[in-house]
Amino acid sequence: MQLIFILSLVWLVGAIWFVSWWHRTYRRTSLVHLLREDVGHIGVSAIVAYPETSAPLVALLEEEYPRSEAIFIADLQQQESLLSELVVRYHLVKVNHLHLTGARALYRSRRRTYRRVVVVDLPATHSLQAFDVGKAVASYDNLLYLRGESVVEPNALAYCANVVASQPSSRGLQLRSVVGADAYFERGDVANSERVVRLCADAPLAWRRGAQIFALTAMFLPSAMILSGHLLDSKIMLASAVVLIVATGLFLYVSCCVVTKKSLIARLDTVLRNFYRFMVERIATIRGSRIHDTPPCLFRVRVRNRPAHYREDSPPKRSHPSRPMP
Amino acid sequence: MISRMDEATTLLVALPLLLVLIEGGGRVYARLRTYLMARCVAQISNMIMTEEEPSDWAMRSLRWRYSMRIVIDSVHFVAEKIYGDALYRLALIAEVCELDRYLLEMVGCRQSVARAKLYSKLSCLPYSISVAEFAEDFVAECERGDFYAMAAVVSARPERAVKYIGRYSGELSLHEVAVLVMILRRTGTAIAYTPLLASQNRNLQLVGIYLCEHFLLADAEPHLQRLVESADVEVSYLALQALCSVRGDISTPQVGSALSNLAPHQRNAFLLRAVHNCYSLRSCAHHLTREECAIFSQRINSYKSRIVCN
Repeated sequence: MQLIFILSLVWLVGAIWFVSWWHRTYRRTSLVHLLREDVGHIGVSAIVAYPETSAPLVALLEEEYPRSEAIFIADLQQQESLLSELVVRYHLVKVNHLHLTGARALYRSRRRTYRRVVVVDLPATHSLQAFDVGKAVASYDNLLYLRGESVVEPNALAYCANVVASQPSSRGLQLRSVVGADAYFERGDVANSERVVRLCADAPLAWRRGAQIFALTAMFLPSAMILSGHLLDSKIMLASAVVLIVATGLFLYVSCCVVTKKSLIARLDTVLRNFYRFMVERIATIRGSRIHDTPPCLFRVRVRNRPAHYREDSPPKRSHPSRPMP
Repeated sequence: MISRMDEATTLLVALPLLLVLIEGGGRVYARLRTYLMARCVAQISNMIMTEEEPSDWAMRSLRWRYSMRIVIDSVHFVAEKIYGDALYRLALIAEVCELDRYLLEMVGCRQSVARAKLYSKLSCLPYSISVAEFAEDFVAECERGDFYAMAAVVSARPERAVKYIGRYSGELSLHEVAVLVMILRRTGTAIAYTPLLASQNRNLQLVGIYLCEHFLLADAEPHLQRLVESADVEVSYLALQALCSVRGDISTPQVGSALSNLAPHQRNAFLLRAVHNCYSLRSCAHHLTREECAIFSQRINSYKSRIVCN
């Protein structure tokens, strides 16, 4: 019981820390006036790692910011239907990919209107490796990382470019949102630089369809604790429940401050996910290890099993015999 | 036991109900606000597009039909989408509805970020007579380093923009410079870039560099070469980027010394910019390390430079 109480206290301290960080940086970023035009020729490359469908790419191409680029990384040997869809829609052609370690193929669009699209066929591994490949391909040094089915919000890239322009160029920059999918934006080598500004976006950068298990757990847990505390007449249990309700209230405050059309459950779910990430990163920082040593996606590490017939040196399958790839 | 169960059940029911109430209230408010703003924007657009000037009564009716915040947000929304003569009609609406006076009154009651946001809204209004009248009162504030106070003053009196920017005590960021240039462009103010680049004031230099980069002014290359040597790393870096954008000479020793002062990620950004602007490796190889030369040539040989340059 005492352990639960101590854990609840740690959680509450973490929640207060989290909300204070959010509030401190929110005040800075909320003053950034969104300019949808090219701000000082600052470009942003968005990297999507291992999505199931083409929806994240479509959302990125709808961005109005002129200096932006969409890098779509997927295991296209496993997802042949996705490859055929992309080839037909964007008229993809194969280009030289020898400078990319581990990539099977690199595609770009033959159409001039889609020249901001880059598609990389990479065997399914951890998303960190995909991000490294994306970095090598990227045309710009400002990178927005997205995982899975995360769909970028309208004007998110313009917003990132504006935030970059509002900070001194000599420092690294990391930008995250409290509400929304676990997308994050970086300028420079954040993992290795000493002077890094860590900011919180005042609006979500991306959204992902999810089961919202975290929010349901957050609501279920205090309820169960109240019930069991009453039944067992345990004051510690009741106190823990109160602590959890206070923490949930703080999260609600955060999520309600952000104007979005998503439901409260979805917002609460993403806030909780980002809070857990924040806590793990802070603990890792206190321990002395770098933030990037911890996996950025703690709760969704998807490594597909490679089929037995797959070999590294095997040539990529030609999915469209009728449309030869140059 | 039964009473405790009742209490627990009440709490269990109350928590989801509270959540539903918060959610419902928030959604109703958001929908109502969106609906009212859409109506207000449509009404303002109609007033702007009609050939005859709308009557004072029609313009003043916006004030009692909608809340002041909705009118201000609608005017701001419309102001971002129009240009030219339509802006004068919008300024008239703002004046008749006394939006600027309302904002100025609110500025006096607010502090810190809320105050800066109000100044930001003032700077987005089309030409504002009230702000112009009280502009000198805000100069002291803009001298203390409140950027949006300065932006509001510049928006009200664009012909004195250089003076106000020169008196600003804070250090402008690239984004703030972009906002100022946007205000000057919207108000149709012409500014000569050469005196800005020749100035000793850092903020004026940044505005000059931004103008050169934005409008690709190749004539400014000698000034940019001089600014690349600046002791201020920010100015030096932005001058370097601008020099790249206008496709100036990057093989000079000034560029070499400026590159040596940059952080690794700034050097990387410079390399990417140079590839985008179709520079050859020979143009800057003597400033780069062996690894950077390899990255540069790899970038040039990749399909990317061909896409960008063609």
